[in-house]
Amino acid sequence: MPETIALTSRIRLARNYEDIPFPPRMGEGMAQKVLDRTMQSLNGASGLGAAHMVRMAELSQSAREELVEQHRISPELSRKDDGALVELMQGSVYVMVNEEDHLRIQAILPGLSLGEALDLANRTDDALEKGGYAFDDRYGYLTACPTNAGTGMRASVMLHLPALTLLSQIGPIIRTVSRIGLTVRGIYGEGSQANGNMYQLSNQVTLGRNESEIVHALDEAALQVMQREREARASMLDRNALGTEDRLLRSYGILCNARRMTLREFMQRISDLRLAMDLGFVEVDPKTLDDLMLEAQPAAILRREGKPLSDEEQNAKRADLVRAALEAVG
Amino acid sequence: MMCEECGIREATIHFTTIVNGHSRELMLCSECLNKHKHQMWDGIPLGELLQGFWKENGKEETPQLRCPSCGMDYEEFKNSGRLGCAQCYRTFSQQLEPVLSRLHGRVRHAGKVPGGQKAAPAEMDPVAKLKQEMEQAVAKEDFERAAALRDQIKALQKEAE
Repeated sequence: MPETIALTSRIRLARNYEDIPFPPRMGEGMAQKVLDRTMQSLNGASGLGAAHMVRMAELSQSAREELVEQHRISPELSRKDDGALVELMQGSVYVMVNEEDHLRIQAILPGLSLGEALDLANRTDDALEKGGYAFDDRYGYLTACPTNAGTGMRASVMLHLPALTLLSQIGPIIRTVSRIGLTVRGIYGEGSQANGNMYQLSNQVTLGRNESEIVHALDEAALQVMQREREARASMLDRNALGTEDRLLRSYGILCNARRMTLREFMQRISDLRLAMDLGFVEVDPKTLDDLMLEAQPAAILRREGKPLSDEEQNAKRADLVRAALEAVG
Repeated sequence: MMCEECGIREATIHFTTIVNGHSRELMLCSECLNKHKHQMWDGIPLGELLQGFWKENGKEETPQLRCPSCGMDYEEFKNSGRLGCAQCYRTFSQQLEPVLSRLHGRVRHAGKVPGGQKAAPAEMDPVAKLKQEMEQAVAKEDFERAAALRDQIKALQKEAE
């Protein structure tokens, strides 16, 4: 039974060119210079595949929002007209250009695979460093914000932790990992979980430790949190197996039959369904859930409909979409 | 309850971040939440954090420093918490050191270096090394080992004095 506690692994490297001020202080024409230099390095590199570049200025507001929903760009880049996004290696690597730093190289892979993601990010980085990086022996890679200086690396794992959330175990875990230079972030709604019980585990420290040390520490921590989640699931079943199965499959029933669904409800129900799948109560292809998570976000629905929708209309469209996706596999 | 950020809209979301053990909770409306989601990408609410550092460091007089390359002055750096260009790191190096030290614990790059070489391994002082091991032991809830390490650290610190 494939279990999907660790959803994605991500490595982000922040880089700047030595001879150009960082984006917040760039003058006229400099953003273009950054972009030109970046594309020149990437087009001349071997082994990265074709580089697809799109400028933010060419995209509508909703197209930018959709890229944010897909976690390909940050909200900050979506607001910058002189920003651009470059896709490499068939969508495993994205380079944000002219965000807070000239370059934000991001490698994203499914599951817990930080080492492989680091490798992809490094290959891209090796090609881009021909542009002449801002680097200092003492401070490492120089970034606009001192929280990123050094390796410029933020490594993170997206974890789905419904049982730990339900058993109120997230707090102690956050306190524990924070002692070793890692952080956990999640978004809590009142009472119920607005963000589908998803948490991002990432490193906070970027200076004074090398990349593999950081990745190793994060890997270890992720494995431990995943183990705790498994134990929490087992104890949940131990206490009340029938109740758990009933609760989770009710969510499945609602997903398959609802005619209207808010984003918030959707995130909670889809989390229940993912857990039901992990526990073997129902058979669903994990990829269906992953796709649905992206397709049911507001900007994605808007793009498909091609016109502005009221909240009610959006909720109806979301419910339609979910039913269609789940009917196709069920 | 009103949103703690804008004070205008009704708060609907309870937002918590915990950075290095310091938890910060806010009741937010969905609009202000979006601003905070930005942190999911990039870490900590920096302006605030840095303001704390400056205050603690307590030096009130503002050095008359200006980056010769991008023109950023010390005041601007202090308020934004951002550097303007590579040269700023050299210009404000003295002011930056304590900030970097608080943020990262160590101020000596130990990672990748352009051109494919590896950085020389940072010469770590023995107390820092033991502290790191102790943190790891605590994280693994191996409190016995953590206590033993703590005693070693104390002994070393005494010696140093």
